Amino acid sequence: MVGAAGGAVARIAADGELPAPHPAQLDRELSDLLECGLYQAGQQAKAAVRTLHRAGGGLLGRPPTSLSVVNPGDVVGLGHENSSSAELGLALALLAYQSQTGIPAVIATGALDLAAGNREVRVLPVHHLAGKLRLLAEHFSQPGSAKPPQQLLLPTHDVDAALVPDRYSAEIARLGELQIQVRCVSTLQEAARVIGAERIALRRSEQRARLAAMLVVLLLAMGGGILAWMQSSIALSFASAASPDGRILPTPIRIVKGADGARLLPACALASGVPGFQVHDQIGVRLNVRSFDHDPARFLGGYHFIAVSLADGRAPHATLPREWSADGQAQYIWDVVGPPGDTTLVFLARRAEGFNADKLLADLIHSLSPSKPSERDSAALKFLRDAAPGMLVFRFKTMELGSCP
Amino acid sequence: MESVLLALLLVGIAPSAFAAPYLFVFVAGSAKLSRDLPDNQIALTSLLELLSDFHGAGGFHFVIEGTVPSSCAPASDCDGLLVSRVNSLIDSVDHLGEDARLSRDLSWRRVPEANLPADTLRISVSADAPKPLSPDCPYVLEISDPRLPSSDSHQDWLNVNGIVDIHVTPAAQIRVHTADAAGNLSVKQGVASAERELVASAPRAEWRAGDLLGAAGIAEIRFGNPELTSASVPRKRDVAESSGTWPTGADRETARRLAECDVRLLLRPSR
Repeated sequence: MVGAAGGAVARIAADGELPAPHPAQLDRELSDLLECGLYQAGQQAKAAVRTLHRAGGGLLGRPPTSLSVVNPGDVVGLGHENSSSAELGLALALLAYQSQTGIPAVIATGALDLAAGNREVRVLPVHHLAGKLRLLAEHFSQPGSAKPPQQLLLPTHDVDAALVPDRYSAEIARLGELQIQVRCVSTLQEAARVIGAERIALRRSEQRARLAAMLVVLLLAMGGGILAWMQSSIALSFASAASPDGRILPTPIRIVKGADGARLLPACALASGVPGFQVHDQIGVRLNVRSFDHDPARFLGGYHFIAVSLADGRAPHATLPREWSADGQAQYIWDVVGPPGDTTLVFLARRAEGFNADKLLADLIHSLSPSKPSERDSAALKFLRDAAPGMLVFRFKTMELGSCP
Repeated sequence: MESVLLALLLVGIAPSAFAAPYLFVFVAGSAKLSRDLPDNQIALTSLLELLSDFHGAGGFHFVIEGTVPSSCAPASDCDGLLVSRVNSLIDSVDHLGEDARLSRDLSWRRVPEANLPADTLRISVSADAPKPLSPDCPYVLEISDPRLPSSDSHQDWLNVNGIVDIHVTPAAQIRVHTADAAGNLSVKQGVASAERELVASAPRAEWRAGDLLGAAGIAEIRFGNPELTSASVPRKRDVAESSGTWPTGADRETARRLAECDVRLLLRPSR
């Protein structure tokens, strides 16, 4: 409702289709209001809505919204002094469209005060309120008039600082007969809540509470994701090693110490296909986790390794790597000791948390106790497979010194 | 302005033997190759392409060269640091490459400090004894490609054997001659379904790859004995495909002389 004295009912529509650029470079969202003298009121309303967005923490996107006057013939020649009462209605039109509320229409009159800055937008009294309310009642009482919107939003006080519900009770009662419910609002936030534009109308404290709840949910989801990722399989492989003689050889590899230093040699090739290592040799192993660059494991405690040897007639033995790096490399060197026989080396890898060798061995031995000797190897492998998401097995034969072909 | 123009012109006509750097930079004292450094990323990608393109090839191999800086404190395990750096480069190749065997095509060696910037590893090429393209192909093929790292023996030409697909940049030079440096050869290029004669009969032939590579970036080249036409006696591949066996005795000798070898040049864009 706008205008002096009798005023007029200006019907404002909001949609997402912007008009063609205005020759005077006016704001396209508001340029359709110019002819009816509502452009300045539209600017005020748009600034108020922007303030509301900022107060909401800027989390909500604001789609482009165009305002236009549906009945321009009824609203002509308005000066700024007469158009300010449309500010609340224009702002609500913007909010209703941007929030996609279920309320198709609302009636409002009120000016907006942006002086409070970012905190809130107060709804100010407007002149000639009694006349406006009477005009409204007459407008919707005419025979054949459309069904009125259910909500009428007014300032809480009039220009004389009197409470609107008290001073205008007769006019309000008459509107009530037309099924128009009057709601007095002191701020634009409150008005937005009345029309269901709650996403924007939330107060900062509510926004923070909702944001905190979202963060908690997000953190829980991330925690679950990280937990699942921690347990996801690790692609562990043997890496090559630079030999002092210039060759690049795949590990596990024989390290043979001589008077002129250590030499790296491939494992003894046996007819059975199982690699052989002589007593007094050393076994050198380099491990590599096949990960991707910027693998988060590097920042979440890195990769950790342990090796468990399972040999005939001997208790399992666990060894932590001689060198390792958090991004997935490990290096082992063992002395090969007798007696000759078959040995299985099981390399385990996991993320974030290091291995407790004593506990792992104790649990392993405990799990093997009910197994028959013939089942111990497979039972140990099963236990170790469950103990870490990365596992690599290497079987070799320990041989007497000088028996390497 | 003139000096700039002159410099650009010089770059444009630089000899093809100007070798790619393949330099890997380490933080002083660090054994770990930083794959985050753009220069290392480029060098790694280039090295992987080289290893992949020439995997299984004979004639030369790639060598990691490193040095122990004289500034390295005597108490430190400087040799160990060098080996660790080599291992780190190998790990990176294994990490990024699709085939873990590629890194085993490399070897490494220590070089004098004066030959290499501090805290770097470099890839060079070590030439092996030249061999014919294959046991059945008595021709020697050599390439000189600016894409290849520099040779430790400063050779411009490197023998390639054991592979059929040879990846080259347009600036690469290719030459072919008979293995015993005697006799002539003929060279043809397959163009669509026909053949274009590049050399009718000569002891040696040489081209720039860019002149042979078509729009598709492929050039199919065939070397043969000009004294005998390929139509009179079937080529080895045809014989093998039709009967599954290769002629014996005198036939084999005839076939050997007739042997035609096919190689395919594949375009690798210049970096």
